[in-house]
Amino acid sequence: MTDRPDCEGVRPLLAEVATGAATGPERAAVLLHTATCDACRTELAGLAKAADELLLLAPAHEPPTGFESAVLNRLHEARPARRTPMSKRSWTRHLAVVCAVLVAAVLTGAVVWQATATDRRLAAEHRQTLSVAGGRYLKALPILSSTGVRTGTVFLYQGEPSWLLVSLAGAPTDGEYRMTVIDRDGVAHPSGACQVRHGDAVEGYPLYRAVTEIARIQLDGPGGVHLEAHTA
Amino acid sequence: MAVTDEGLVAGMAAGDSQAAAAFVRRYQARVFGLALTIVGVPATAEEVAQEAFLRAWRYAGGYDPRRGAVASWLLTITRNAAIDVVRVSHERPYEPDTLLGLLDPQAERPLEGWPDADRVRTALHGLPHEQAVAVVLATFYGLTAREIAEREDIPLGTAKTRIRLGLIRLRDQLEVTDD
Repeated sequence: MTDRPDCEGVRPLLAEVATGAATGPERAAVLLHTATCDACRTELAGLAKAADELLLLAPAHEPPTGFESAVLNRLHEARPARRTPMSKRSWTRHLAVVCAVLVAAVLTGAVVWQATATDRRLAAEHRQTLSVAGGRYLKALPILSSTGVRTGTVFLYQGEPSWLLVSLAGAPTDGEYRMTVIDRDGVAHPSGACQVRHGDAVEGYPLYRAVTEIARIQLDGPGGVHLEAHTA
Repeated sequence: MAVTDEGLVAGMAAGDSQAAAAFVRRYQARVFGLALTIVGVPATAEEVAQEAFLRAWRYAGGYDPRRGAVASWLLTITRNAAIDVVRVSHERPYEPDTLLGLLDPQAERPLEGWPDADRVRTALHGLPHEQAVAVVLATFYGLTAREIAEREDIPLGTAKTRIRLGLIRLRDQLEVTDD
């Protein structure tokens, strides 16, 4: 789809990513590179820290009366429901199950630990990359045509801010493709459009819902062309 | 003795509502002030500020003190929540006067107990004016380099250079004052 960006290509973009001025594709390129480049990752972290500190200059204003109680009410509503206490018998049964699972996990883990050193290093790099922008998830999904042919990839990033990036290569027709995000309740959210030229397009968009709430993303182009990416 | 910022965030991560109340009381003026600076409308700013505290409550477990102070972390959350709202509404409500105020050496002084703001203000004043404007527009209002180029009537490459050189210089000056 695209070449992996190198340090020379990424360095000029680091400040824009740190301030939030980068476009979606630029941000995606930088995050892809910093996943495996310590030097650029460190540089980005330093610039992001400076940009964040700049926000200290915003003048303070007392909020309207009732603000504090309104916030605390929202926090209370957001708190996970407290579990009901378990009976002693139920508690004992749960404990036995937990112990059995733990023993199995330890035995399995010892074997897996030896076999997955590379994966663990990659996972650590991935976590470190996400942490630069408060990220939680970075997910890539294939975009398929109605006949099952892969025509691109959609990247979903949950962080501060969250975004999605649509990359098409070999779309059936050129023109404007309307994008719709469908959540797990089946509600469709129109989320913008991208222009396809010569079958290709790369567009980034802000994402206003959690990645885990998204069921699929569909792209509808000229002449009834319908493309979809499913999260599961 | 007052609980530290880090202590309050740790309390929130553990679901302590008293820590959350103390945290809101300590930071509400800063959070609402930043939201108002970006969105420009008090009612919208109140919504944004509430959303910022809600996100802080949810993400408290992910706060890492090695990446910056609590104030910077919370204000970054606030900035992102405000920019989300601005982008959805497709309006750019920023006031040039607010921006110029941030760059004015005689501007409103930070609240007592916020010495870091003076340090950052001094570092910002050390930048060439056009670089400081570009960095502030990008950082506070989330303007892209293209949007800054259109607003300042300069080539895109110049806008990118101003953001890059300005932020690098700001980072270097802040690192010097940290030493």
